[in-house]
Amino acid sequence: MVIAVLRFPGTNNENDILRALSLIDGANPILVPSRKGLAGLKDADGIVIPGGFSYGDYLRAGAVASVESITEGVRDLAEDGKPVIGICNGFQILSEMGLLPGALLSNESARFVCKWIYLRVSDNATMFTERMEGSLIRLPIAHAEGNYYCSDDEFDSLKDEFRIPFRYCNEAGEVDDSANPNGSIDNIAGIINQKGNVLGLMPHPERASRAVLGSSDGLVILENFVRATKC
Amino acid sequence: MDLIHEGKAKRVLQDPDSPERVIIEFTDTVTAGDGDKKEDFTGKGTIACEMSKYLFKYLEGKGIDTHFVKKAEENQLLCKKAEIIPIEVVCRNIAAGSFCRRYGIEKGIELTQPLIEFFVKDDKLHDPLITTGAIIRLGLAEREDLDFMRSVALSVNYYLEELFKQRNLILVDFKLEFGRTEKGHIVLADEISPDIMRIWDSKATSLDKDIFREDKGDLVATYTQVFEEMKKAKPDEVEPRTESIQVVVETKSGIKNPPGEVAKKALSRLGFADVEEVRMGKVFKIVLRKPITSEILAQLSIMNVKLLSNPISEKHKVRLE
Amino acid sequence: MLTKKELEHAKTVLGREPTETELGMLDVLWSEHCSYKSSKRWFYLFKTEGDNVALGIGEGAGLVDIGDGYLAAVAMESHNHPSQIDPYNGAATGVGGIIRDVISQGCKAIGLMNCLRFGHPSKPHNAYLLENVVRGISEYGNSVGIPVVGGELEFDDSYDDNCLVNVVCVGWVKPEEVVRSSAKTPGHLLVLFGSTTGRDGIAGVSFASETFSDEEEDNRGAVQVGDPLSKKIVIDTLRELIEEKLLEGLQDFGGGGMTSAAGELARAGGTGVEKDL
Repeated sequence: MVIAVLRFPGTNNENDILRALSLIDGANPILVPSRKGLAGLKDADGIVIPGGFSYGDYLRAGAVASVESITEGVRDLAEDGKPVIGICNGFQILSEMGLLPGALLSNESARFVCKWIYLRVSDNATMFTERMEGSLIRLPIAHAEGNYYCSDDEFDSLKDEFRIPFRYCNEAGEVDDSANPNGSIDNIAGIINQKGNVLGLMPHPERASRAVLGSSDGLVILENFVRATKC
Repeated sequence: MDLIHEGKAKRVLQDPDSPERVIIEFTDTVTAGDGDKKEDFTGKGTIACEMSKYLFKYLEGKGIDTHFVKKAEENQLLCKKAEIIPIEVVCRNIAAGSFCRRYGIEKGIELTQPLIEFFVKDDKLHDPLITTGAIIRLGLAEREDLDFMRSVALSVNYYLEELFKQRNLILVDFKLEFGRTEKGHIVLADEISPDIMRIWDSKATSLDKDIFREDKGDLVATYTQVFEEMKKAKPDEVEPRTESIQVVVETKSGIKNPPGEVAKKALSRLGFADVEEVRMGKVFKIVLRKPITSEILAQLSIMNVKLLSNPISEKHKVRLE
Repeated sequence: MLTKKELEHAKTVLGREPTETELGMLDVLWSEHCSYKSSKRWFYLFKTEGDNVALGIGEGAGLVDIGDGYLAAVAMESHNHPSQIDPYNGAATGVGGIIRDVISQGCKAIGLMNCLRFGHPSKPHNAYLLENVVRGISEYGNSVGIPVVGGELEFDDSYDDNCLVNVVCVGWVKPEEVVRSSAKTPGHLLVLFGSTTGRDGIAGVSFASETFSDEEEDNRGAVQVGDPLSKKIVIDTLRELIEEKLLEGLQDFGGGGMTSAAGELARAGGTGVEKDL
């Protein structure tokens, strides 16, 4: 299945994603520079928006990329129910586009945070968390604006509709303030849209896709994503 | 045609063909001193109308939004219907008239930069000077509207001054009125003729209504002469002027602002113990290559919501410089 | 700075007074940054030849054969003076420059390292320099997607007024993808691409090689502001140019600017260049 890995000017995790996806059977990842516009997404069965600093994070992280013409194609694919993942800067772009609710604000520490964290995967089934429901996984984060914020109403619907697959926790799997690396509401690390086919998350699954990198927990998320492109 | 309004030198009539348009008829009457001095000069209405048409078209060409549509009869202009904002906007380059009396200074002193003053449009009160604070608190206009009118008046000043300069005509001061169209756009209204502005030649001889105020010569002949001179100037040779707009983006109150908190701690380490809160935002300076119009401000607000600020967590303010 | 002797030599070669443009070019080319005229005599201390050396001294990066059909690229550069004046931007642009040296050889840049020398951090100014140099290096690397994988640091009083900021970039390339710094074919065009330089970057090397004066604070505008976004776009563009085999030669555009880049390309190719100023 053709998986479009978008590269905006300043995106810099595209090679990591391409490499990780190439480990998965049936995935045919292709690099799509954003200047190709809608035509670049013609054959795509799924989209990954990698991390990095699209447009230098000028204005706000993800803001400039979110109004590029290729994003219309991302919207169309999401509308069709195809899987879309935005990682780190990709999550920021998806929320700036309005495909995911809320906004990613400056970390509470006002500093760039780069470290390994633990995530509690929600018990509820989602397209992206098959075979890992309720588990404890370990992934790296690296961001300055990962502090998830949304209105109270929005938060209520995220909770009620089981749209929070990933939350920061400690080594013991407890979701508490001390395990919150950036000040996100309710330790949110990743959310999905109402349809369940668009995932945004701050941690980097591609950087935990092989044991030699320190963990391969992230590969499962990407495998689920690839499987979803076949549906 | 129904008479909508009758002023001292003009009549406003309803355009029978369109409810959104009016016909402004220029009369031959000239008044001064809030109507104390009054006289008719045959042909004055026509020449003031011609000149208004000419200058409105020129200003429209430079990007300024006016109520002018086209010329109708010889002393009539077809205009967009606009509700007049009851504030007169005066722009001064050189001290003259009431400005000299008010501050006891000599006529002819050049001001260091153009000055914008607001007056209440009310003959019974003799059109008093009013501060922006009073205008806002009396509900006569909003601050944004005043900033907008100030900006447009300064653009008008630049474009008229540069045009006149080509023919050695000096723009001393002028008065503008603005109106709000059905669409809610604020446009330059009323007229632009020597009835509302002072023009001098290089020897500081008046070529405007001061001739009547001071009984110094043939009004219609002077108006005609100054108009002929004006028409010899080349509008294309007037360079466009840039205008700056500032967009200030802040985090909404109630949402944490970590960079501000860090700055606050740093300030208190430096000894500024009384700082209660610091919030960091962003300022964009946008330089336009044409005058500001209501349309541009509307576009800017779309641009804002789409790009410059994130409505989920931020709020923005537009400031005209 | 051009010495009196060098100026006399230039006059002899030209047979006349140099024009203002020529003076500017000579000043750039004979700056310490471009010509290494004072440090050249120590070069013999470096080992630059060997069985596995694929490309020695003279171009953007040195290449060493590491087997399995791969060459490793290593380049190192100091950015001392700019970092002393404006530590954040000085260090950041140092990183930008060294990445450029590696990618201009056709290599993929994969890691950054640094060798830093500062005065003791107990002195506030040294601590300020250290903090901002480190931030400049790490933020630039992070933004452009190349990690800082190692480094070394020493403190000594002798560095109080002149910190040393050396940055290293490592990369790899397959032998067939190596791009040389030469323009061999007459009639070909030289294309200049990358981000524009602001006033902050003009004639920077003449400044970089100046001796410090008391007015260093006034010089802040002479340090270029780092622009990792443009660098990442240049990296991506270069990859595409190499993959499409569109390049005959490539020269990085460093502190020596147009003067140095065009001249080196032509000289290595045994050709000449016409420049329209």
